[in-house]
Amino acid sequence: MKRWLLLGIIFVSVICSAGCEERTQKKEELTVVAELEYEVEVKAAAAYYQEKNPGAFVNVEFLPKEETTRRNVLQKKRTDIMSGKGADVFFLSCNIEIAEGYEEPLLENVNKSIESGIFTSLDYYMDQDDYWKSGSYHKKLLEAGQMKGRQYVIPLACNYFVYVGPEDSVIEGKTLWDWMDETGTSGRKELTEGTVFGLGIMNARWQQPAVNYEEKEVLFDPDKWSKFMLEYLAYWQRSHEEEAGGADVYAVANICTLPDQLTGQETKANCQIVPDLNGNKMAAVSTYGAVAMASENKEAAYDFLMLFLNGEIEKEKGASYAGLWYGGTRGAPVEENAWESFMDIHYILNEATRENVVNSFRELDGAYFPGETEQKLYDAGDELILPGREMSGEEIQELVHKAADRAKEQYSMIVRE
Amino acid sequence: MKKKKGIVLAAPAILGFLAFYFIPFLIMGWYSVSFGMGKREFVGVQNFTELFQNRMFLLALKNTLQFTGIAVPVVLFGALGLSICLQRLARGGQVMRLALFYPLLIPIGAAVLGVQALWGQDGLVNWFLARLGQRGEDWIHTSAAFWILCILYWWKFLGYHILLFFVRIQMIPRPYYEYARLSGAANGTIFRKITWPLIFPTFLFNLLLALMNVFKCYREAFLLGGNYPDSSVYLLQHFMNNSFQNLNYQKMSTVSVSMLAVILATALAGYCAWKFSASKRND
Amino acid sequence: MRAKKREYLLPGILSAAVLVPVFYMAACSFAGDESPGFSLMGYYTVLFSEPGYLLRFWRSLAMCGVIAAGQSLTGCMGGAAIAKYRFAGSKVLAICMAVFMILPVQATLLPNYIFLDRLHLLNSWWALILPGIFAPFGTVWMAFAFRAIPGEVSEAAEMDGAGMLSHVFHILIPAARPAVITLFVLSFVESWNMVEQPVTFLKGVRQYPMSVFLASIDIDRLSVQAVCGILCLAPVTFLFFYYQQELLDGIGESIWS
Repeated sequence: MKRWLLLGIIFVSVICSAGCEERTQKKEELTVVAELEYEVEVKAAAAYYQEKNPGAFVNVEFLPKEETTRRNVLQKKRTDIMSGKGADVFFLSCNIEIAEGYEEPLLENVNKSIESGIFTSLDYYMDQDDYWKSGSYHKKLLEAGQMKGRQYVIPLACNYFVYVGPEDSVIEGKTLWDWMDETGTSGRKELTEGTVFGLGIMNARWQQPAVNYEEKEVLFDPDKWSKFMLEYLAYWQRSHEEEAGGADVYAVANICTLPDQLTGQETKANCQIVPDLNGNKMAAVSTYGAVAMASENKEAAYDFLMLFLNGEIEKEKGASYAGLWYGGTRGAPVEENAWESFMDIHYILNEATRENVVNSFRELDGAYFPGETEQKLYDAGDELILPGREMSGEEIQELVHKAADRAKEQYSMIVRE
Repeated sequence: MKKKKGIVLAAPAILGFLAFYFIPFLIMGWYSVSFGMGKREFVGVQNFTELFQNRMFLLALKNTLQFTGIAVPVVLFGALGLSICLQRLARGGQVMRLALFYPLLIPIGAAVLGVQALWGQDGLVNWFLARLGQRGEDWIHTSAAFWILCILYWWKFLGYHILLFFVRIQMIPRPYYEYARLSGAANGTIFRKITWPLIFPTFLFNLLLALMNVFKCYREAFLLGGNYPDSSVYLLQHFMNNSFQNLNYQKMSTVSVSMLAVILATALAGYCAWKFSASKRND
Repeated sequence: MRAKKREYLLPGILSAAVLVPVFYMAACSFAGDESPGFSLMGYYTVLFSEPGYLLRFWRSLAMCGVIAAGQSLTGCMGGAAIAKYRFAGSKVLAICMAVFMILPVQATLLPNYIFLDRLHLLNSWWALILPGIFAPFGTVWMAFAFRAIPGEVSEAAEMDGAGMLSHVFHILIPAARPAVITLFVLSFVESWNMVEQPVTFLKGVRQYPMSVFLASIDIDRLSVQAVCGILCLAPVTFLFFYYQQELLDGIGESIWS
């Protein structure tokens, strides 16, 4: 019996002593969690930061791409973060709705994650930072990452759909309805042909912002979406019937993936943002950054994050330094100054066109964080526009309404959770 | 003297329970009354009031209670009946008990594939319906998903409860039954007077386990409907998992503490009721 | 008493229906990865060409065996203490443990993680084994089972001068052998199906037990997964048939004579 007692005492004392151990952490150690596709840029920034701050150590962890590995790594990472260790800086991406499908993000919904208190508010650091007074960041985009007036998440890259065409072909419409009417008017067959497909594949953006997280209300109207989809499908059928070679001259596409035929043009091209059904011109955030509430080096984390915006690296190291941030692989810059370099890398455009492209950026009204619901809308739209099988009118109606209703239901579930 | 020895015997179990279950629960309790990562601040019952005003939580609660109310009694009474049947089958019974137990071991992936093969858009059920001239749907994403989940639960846990009931039934001394048979009692009477009263504590225990198993269907629930399924099958698991994926541990711990409180309250109420009825019976 | 033929019917049909996914899995194990049709590629991969699977299988088996044995042991000791030795607070403890059983693992995952981190047990299989051994299920179940054993048996043992441990091991456990074996089987199955804990407490795919590999549907390696799934049925099948007699027996004859 004495043996048991002794064992018990040892057991309890081991547990107690384990709890008393101090956490040994280097004074200035930053842990960054980033997506693998930004490896070059993040590593470049980390190297620069370590150079600028001797004694600092930036530890970057990349999230893998392979589905099963990713799921397990994300689970562990989430537990780490919730337990208070795990990351100081977040450098994550939002899904762009594409045919490849949805990739599970670390944070399922950025706005809901802000509510759970894992990010620290950056207002204090931003007030002290001159960049926000004199920099060229598009301020309206900041609103997406705010809650109750405080800034938690900073968008670092965005993407949105634009219309590109010859200089004289300006679309006057204010809402997407007007645009569909205008591009579909007879006599402008090339315009129709070039733009009709693009208008369809951006169906997840027909109503954005879809949710107001602060007021907890869903702005997405399934009836509106369904009505537009049905009209669009009829329009799509009509436009299909003739070939007019318009695809070489006109296009509606994502700003990050403008079709090749538009680059390298001699003449000035027009570039306009495509508005949504309510006239809003919103950008989807592709990359965002934030600082963890549990971080013990908040200021350092903020400084590191700002390296991607304030152009300090470029000033010190020159424009040819590998790994400068201009929006990454699938995003456009969020601040005007970076657009020149962005266009240099991505497109060959003449001077006049460049001006129009930057103007389109200035027209943005705001940004939102896309999620799984957008991908689901896109998938449904994809199946309707390019069906793999014959579908009766009735079936199409039903699918359209089902897709819209399900999106509305998912939005309302998310916002009420 | 006896009492003191008892504690020592139970020491490993108690210490282990405290270390790996009770203390973590206390930590979780702290999370449920505080807010903020890193530096946590005490916020009292704010998390709880927010939770019980949260419409999705209430929906999940309602659905989970509904699910529990339907799935659990069926599985318990079914298992009880089957274990009595199997008891009489000796060798054959052993094989069947093993067969019924297998679902617990089958990898979740296979189970989900099976469900999709049956109830998916191109599944067996739709094939049958097409034969009958009806149009099939993707049942997994409709409100029928509730019943699919029920069937999955029954399939998985029937064997589990059969095993537990069977063991307890086997432990009833044979002489009881022999004596009853000799006195000419019918099967029904034997069940009511001998088996059921002796089984009752085990039945309650199995009830507890069945509740535990409702939450074992965690992964199945998402693999079937995704994170935001049809509203009839949105359970507490989904609520908790979505909170987890948005790193909102306050919510999760608040839910767990509430759940535990409710079960504890119910258990205590049941215990008092039982004691009360027992004392009445003694009078 | 011999059962009539028709009594086999209902359970028989039910068992067959329940086994359909098992047959489906068996069918998948014979499917070829690239070309459809019969192929033993899955078996070949698992049994011969990639020893990693078998290695993981045996390691998982060992770990689950340890957990099951440990839980049975602590369960028997704790259960006996609660059922036979009414020490102060035993009732409260029993209720506490019973209620705690219900908590899903996801709820206590984070605190467990923090606690195990403090104990420096993360990234090793001890993080899985220790909580498994001390799971309250074992104690509560054995307390239940031991309550069914008549008190006269224990008193007789006490009068004969049996010590506490020998009381438990030589009298209670043999008397409740079916219950003990059931506990062993159930805790084995429980640990065999662990997915969340390995993913959170361990680092890297190499450390994961078999259960994690089988938890997701990997279309590319479907036949390998199916073969592993079939392999995983083997241990429990073995347990069932090895302990067949014990599970069928009731309380030992010796008690009543």
